[in-house]
Amino acid sequence: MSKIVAVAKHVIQESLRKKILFIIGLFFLILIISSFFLQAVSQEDKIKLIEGISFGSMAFFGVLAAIFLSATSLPEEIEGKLIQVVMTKPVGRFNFLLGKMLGFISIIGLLLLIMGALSWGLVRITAKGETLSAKRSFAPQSLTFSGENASKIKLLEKAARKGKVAWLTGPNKIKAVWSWKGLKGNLPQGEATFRVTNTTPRGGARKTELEVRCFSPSLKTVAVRKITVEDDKPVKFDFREPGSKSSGNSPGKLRIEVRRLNLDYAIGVKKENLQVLAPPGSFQLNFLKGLLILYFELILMVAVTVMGSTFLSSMVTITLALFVYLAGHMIGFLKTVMSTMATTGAMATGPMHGTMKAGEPSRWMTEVFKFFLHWFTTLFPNLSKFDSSASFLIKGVYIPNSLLTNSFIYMSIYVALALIIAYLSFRRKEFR
Amino acid sequence: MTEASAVVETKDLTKVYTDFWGRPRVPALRHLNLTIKKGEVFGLLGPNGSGKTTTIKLLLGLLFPTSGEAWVLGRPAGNVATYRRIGFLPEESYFYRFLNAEETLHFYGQLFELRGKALRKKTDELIELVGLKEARKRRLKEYSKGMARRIGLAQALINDPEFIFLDEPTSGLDPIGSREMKDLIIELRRRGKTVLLSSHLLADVEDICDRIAILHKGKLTKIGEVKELLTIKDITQIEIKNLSKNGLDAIKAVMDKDKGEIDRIEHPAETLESLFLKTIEESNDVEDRRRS
Repeated sequence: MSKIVAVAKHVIQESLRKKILFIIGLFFLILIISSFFLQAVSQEDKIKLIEGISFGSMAFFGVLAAIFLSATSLPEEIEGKLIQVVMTKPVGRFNFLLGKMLGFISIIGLLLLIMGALSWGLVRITAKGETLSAKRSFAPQSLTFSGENASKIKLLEKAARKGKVAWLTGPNKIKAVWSWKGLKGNLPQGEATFRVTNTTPRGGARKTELEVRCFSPSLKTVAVRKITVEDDKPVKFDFREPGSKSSGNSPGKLRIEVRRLNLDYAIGVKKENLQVLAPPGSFQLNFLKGLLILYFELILMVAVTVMGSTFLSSMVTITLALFVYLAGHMIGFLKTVMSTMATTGAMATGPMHGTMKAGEPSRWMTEVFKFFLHWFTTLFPNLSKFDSSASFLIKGVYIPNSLLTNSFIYMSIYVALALIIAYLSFRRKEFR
Repeated sequence: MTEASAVVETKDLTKVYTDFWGRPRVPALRHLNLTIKKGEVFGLLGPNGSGKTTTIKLLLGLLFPTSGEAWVLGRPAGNVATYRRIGFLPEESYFYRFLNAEETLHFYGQLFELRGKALRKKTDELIELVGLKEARKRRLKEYSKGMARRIGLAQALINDPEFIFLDEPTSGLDPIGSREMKDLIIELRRRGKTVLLSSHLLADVEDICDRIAILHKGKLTKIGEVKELLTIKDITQIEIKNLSKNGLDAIKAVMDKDKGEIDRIEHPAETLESLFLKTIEESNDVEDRRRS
C-alpha cells in the first residue's frame, strides 16, 4: 500500500512541477472573473450566468488538465527509459499503474477543489449576502388522461406509457392528469414544460394559455391557475391561492390537471414534463454534489487516458482521450439517431429522397452503420450522463441523490475496466 | 535452481527481437548458459550490440526471453520479490529531471517501504558516499553526466542490495570518477556483495573482475577467471635479477646450475585487450568458414 502511495505522491509532485496546471488555473481565473463583469437582467440571472460559466469552464479546463497530465506521464517515462529503474524496484506493475491513476485522480481533485472554491466565492459575492437555495424536485408517479373521447384517450395513454410525447390536439376537451403519491411537506411550486404547436393554417406564435387545477389534501382549496406556455420553455406556477394557508405537513396525494384553453393549439405532454418543487434545500450541498459529479467524469477520463498511455505515445493518447471525451458527449445524440432509425424505418428501406433505387447497397450500408453505431454506443462511456448536474444547479433544483450514486457506479465500472485493460497491456510490456 | 551459492543461472537463454507484426528480426542473445556465483564480481564483455544489455535486462525482467530460462537469487527473473534484494544502475542515467538528488533517493527509498528517519539517514549516507553533498538540492536536469552517474549509483544501493547490476558503470566518468567507481566495486565485493557489470572498457574489467564472459553477436564465446584467461600456458617466463654475463651464457646453454637467483617463474600474461580482440576475430573466422 505504501508503495502505491509513493507512486501517487510522485505523480502529484511531477504534476505540480509541470507548468500546464498553472496555465490552466490562470485561464480559468481570467474566465470566471470576467464573467463577474457580465451584465444580466436580474441578480438571479447573474448568479445563474456565473454558475453556468464556472461549471462550464471547470469541466473544460478540468478535462484538459486530466488528459494532458495523464497522457504524457507514462509515455515520457517509457521513451526516456526512466521506467527501467522504477520497474526494477519491488512495486509490481499493477501497483505502479494503480499508483499512477490515484496520483492523477488526486491532483485533478485538488485542481477541481480550488476551481470550485473560487466559483463558490464568486457566486457568494454576487448573491451579496442573500440566502441561496436549491429546491428538491419530485417527478410524478403517473400521467393519465380524462375526457369524452375514450379511443383517443387510449392512444394517448399508450404513448405516455412508452415515454413518448402525447399530443392533446383537435377540438376535444381531454385533460392531462399528473399524480404524485406520498408527498410530504409544504409544496409551494410546480414547474411544467410542454411542446406547443399552432394547428391552424394561419400559423403564429407557439405560445398558448392553459388551465391548471391542483388538488391536494394539504391545500384547503382547489387552486386554479391560468398559465401561458411557450414551446419547450419551463414555466413555474404556484399551487396556493394568494392569501390562503397550507395545512402544512400532511402527506398525501397531489393531482394536477392541465387543459387547453385555446383549441387552435396542440400541446405535447410527457410524464416528466411536470415536476413539483419542494421547499428549499441547501445550496452549498447542491453545489458540492455538482462538483462531485463533475469529478466522477474527470476520474473516468483519467482512467481512460492512463489506459491509452500504457500502449500509445503521448500524442496518440491525447488524441484518443479527446475523441473519447467528445464522442462520449455525443452518445446521447447518437442513441436518439438510432431510435429514430428504428422507429421511422426510413433508413432501412433506402434513402428517403429516392435518388437511388430502394436497393441493396443502401440497406447493406445501413446495417453496417447500425452495427457500428450499436457497438460504439455500448462500449464508449456515455459522458452525457454526467452533464445534467450542471443544468440542475443552474436551475436551482436539488440534484437527486440517485444521480450522484448512478454516476458514481457508472464511473467505477469504467475505471475498473480501464485499469484491467491497462494492466493487461502493461503486464508483459518490454522496456528496451 | 540448484546450488544456493549461484546468484544467476541461465539455461539456453535466447532473445529474438520482433517487429511490430511479431516477425522475428534481430537475434540479440543465443542459447546463453551462465552461472554467477555469490560474492564474485562478474564482467560481461563484448562489442556494441553483442547482447550485454539484453542479458542484463532479461535477468532484471525488463525483457522477456523468447526461449530458455533465467533465475536470479533463486527465483525466476522478473519476480517482484527479487527486486527487494537487487540494485540496478542502467546504461545511461535515466532520472526524473524535475526532482533533486534528495527527492530522487526519497522516492526510490519509499518504493522499498523506507520512511521517516531511516529513509533520511540512508539518503544522507548515500549522497555522502557518491560525493554529491553540495548538489543535493539541485534539480537533476542541471546535473552533468558524471553527477547523474553518481546519483544513479546511489539509487542502485538504496536498499543495500546483495546483488548489483551495473551496466557500463564507468561510462561518462572522468579518470578520477572512474577510479572511485572501481574502488567502490571492490569495496562492495569486500562486503560480500555480488556484482554483475557490463563494459567495453577493458582496463576497468581487468582490474576488478573475478570472472568474465565475452559475448559476440549474441553468443557466449569465452568465459572464465580473468587470470586464467589471460595466461599464455605454453610459454614460461623467467625473470632473473643480477644475472652475470656467464650466467646468461649458461642459461642460454642449458639454464640449469647457475648462480643467478630466480625471482619468479610464470607464464606471460596477455593484456585483456589482445585477448578480447583475438576472441572476436576467432569467432568471426568461425562464422566466415561456416558461411563458405
